[in-house]
Amino acid sequence: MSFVVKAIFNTLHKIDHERDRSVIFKGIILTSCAKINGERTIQSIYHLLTGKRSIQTVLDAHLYGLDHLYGIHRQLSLQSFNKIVADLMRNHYIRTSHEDKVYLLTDRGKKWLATHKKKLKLSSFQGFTYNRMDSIFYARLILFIQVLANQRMQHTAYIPVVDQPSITNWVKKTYKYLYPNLDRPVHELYRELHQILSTLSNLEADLFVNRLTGYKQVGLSIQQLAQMYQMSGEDIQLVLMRIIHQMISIIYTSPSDYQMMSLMLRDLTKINLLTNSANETYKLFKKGYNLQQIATIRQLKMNTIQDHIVEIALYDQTIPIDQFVSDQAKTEIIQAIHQVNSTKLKTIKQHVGEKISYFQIRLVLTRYIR
Amino acid sequence: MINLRLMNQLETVLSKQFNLHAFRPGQKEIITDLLKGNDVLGILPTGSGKSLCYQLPAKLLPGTTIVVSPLISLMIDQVKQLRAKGFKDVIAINSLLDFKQRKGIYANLSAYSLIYLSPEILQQDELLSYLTKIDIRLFVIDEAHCISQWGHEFRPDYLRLHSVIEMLNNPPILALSATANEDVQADIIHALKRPKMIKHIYPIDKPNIAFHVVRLQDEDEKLHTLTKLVSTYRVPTLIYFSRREDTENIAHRLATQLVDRKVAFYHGGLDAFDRLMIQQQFMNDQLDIICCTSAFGMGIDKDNVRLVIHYHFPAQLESFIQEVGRAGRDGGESISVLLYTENDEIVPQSFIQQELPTKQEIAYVFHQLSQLAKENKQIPRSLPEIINLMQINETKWRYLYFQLESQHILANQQINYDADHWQRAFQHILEHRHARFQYKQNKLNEMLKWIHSTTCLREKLYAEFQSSFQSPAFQCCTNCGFSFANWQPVEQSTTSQPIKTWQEQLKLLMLGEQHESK
Ligand SMILES: Nc1ncnc2c1ncn2[C@@H]1O[C@H](COP(=O)(O)OP(=O)(O)OP(=O)(O)O)[C@@H](O)[C@H]1O
Ligand SMILES: [Mg+2]
Ligand SMILES: [Zn+2]
Repeated sequence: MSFVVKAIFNTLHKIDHERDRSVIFKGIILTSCAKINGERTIQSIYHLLTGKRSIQTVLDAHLYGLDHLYGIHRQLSLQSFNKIVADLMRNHYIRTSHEDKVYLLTDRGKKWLATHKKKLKLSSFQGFTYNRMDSIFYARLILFIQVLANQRMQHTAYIPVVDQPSITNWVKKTYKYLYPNLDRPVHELYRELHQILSTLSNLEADLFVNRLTGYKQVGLSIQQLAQMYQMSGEDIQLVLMRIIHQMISIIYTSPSDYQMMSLMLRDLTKINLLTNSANETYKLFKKGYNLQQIATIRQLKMNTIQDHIVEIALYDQTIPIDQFVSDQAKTEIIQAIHQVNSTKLKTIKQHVGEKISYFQIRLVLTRYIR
Repeated sequence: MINLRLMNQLETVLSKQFNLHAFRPGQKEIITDLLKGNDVLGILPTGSGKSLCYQLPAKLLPGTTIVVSPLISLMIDQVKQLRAKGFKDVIAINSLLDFKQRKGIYANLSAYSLIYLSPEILQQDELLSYLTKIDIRLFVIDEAHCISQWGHEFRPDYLRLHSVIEMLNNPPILALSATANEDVQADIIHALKRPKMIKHIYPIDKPNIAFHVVRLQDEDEKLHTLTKLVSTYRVPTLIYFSRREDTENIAHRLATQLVDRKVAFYHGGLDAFDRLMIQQQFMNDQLDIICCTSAFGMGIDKDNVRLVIHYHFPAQLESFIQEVGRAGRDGGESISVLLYTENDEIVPQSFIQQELPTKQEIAYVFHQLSQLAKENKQIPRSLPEIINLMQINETKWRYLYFQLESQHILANQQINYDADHWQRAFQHILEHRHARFQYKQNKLNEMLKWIHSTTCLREKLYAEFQSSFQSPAFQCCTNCGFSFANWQPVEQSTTSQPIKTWQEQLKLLMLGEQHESK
């Protein structure tokens, strides 16, 4: 009996803690709800945070001024997302309307957000701009630190912290390129890290360093960091991502101060970060094949190829879309957007003529970003 | 002939490639038999170096060695450790690899000298077609007791290994385990269809481990005893629990109460990256205590674990021996402590119930199948759909599926309806289910009997496996007068230093110790 009671007590205790420990996560959900203001479902926030590669998600992100939060927590599970939404509901930070489909901030939620806004530093996130490049940069950085630190001590028997081939191959290549004069790069990377971490708060720098693995020193897991800083696992992940974004931004501003870290970013352009399949399509497209031909060559459905083209257009604003959408169609679509005052695909589609396809609408919408 | 030459090289390879100086008991004997082309069943204690029995031949022989291993984490671990030691042509093929990675590996399969696989993935036609094209010289089943322990229920692919081996041109087989009694040994040999397997059976008792069972009034007292124990002894410690949430809760408690100890939890629900980090920290003496489920066990090889505590006990002695076998792998004095309160058996008991379908559940599945058969339909493809339709959990379904398949009622998605036959099959499956239930129940009872035994616990623990045991190197057991007063282990403190500023830590991490200012 006593055990059951204790277990219940523990869970209650945990929930109570969880709420206070997820300040950033909570702040992000509330901010998103506030901006979206009931015009989209709650799932759209989940898609936003996990960085879903759909035109609607990307468009919405820009439309509601939430592009900086796009894809900042790609591993977020639907379960934890639903849990925090339920917590926020139960504690009256948000309420539902329209048959439970959309969520609105309550006065309590608004007040909380106003008091915490500064502390959250959400403007340091640059989710859309650094989409995917952030995690590649981070993986390269932590593996490189481990490799160099162990190499310095002539220690070869260690287990690498990252084992994705794309990352390990990059590190190997770069390592070979720097070899055998490794002493300078280690000191340089150390200096850069020291300098860049000094621009952060003490807590942030501390947390970042505790996650690192070096010579005979294994970094802490997310749960361990959560325990150490009395934060939820989600908040730890989000703080780490915020730090990474801050770092990338600093490196871009003064690359000459951060030569080693610039190396880790150099080849990471947006277009390189397309899904593999879209990239294949892009290669053929650049060679001058039309969509039908690409579909035949790649043995894929036309729809899939069109999805690729939209994805490419989204990342590469310079590719011409005229060949797919006539000027007249473009004008019609833009007029429809203004008339219905919405970027919801369905709504626009209902307002344009039969001849205009979803594909064309999506393409035109890609030009509405930025 | 070629193998004679290889045999002269054994010692050289041992020292040059593995950096070891002499074989341990059993290793050379097993390897020699394998190189002669014989099939071998090797039973050696935990921590005795069973892995070397195939890793060395894999290095020595041309072609590829296949190792079937039960846990993905164990596989990945062994591969990472081998790579860290400089063996680069080693790979684990498992469900975590994505399509592209897998393709890349398959295209280049013959380049690997050692391939770790799960029995399930060995059922995939694509992989098999690649495997049949390469030169396989040795087929290993590590933790071979799984054939018997799990094969009959939820891992039926263990029972299909023999046909895979046939397809691979019948290479010599090596089956390894630390916990297989005579029945299980017979079961393994039978399942692999190699009656002439040469048995290398060594005593599996561990003379450097003392066994202590503590009976406690209730949960409170148990928790109190645990806390006192781990606060008294500062040594690398494992604490086993049945449920994931308990590992988290108790780790949290211990961490708050014992501020000078580093405590972590480990279970199958953590993501792979964090699991590896925790394990590495423990290996690296950055942690004192790990609260874990059985997911932390098989194969884990840290040499100086001194204390293994069972807060909950497993459902059979074999698992207990495996888990205790994490202790004292360097031969140093170590203690196994089992904390028992009355009714602790409720949890393992309920696990057994969850693993096998009830009569009603079996009847319902038959009913649903006949409905489908009448409508000329197949069973659904996706597991969630099936589970929804049949109203049983996944483990039970897997058991039933294998049974239905062996009764020729199911073949893939296809249902073969025959009223008379189904009647008999139903009875047959029911009997099988009862027999398995009884078997598991007996196993649990043996475990309980051991806990309650009043004679030497060491003798009792190994009685089922061998007729005698070595005299204990240190203390023996509760019933032979174990006392904590006689245990003074060398304090093993974690290498974690007093809390540093991030600046100091970054410097240490990247530039090493010589830069540290005192
Ligand atoms: N001949 C040897 N001399 C010294 N050390 C050895 C020798 N053979 C193996 N070892 C070491 O013994 C340790 C245990 O080996 P291994 O992991 O293979 O044990 P195991 O028998 O598979 O145990 P388990 O049943 O727990 O899986 C390893 O660290 C290994 O390097
Ligand atoms: Mg082993
Ligand atoms: Zn005894």
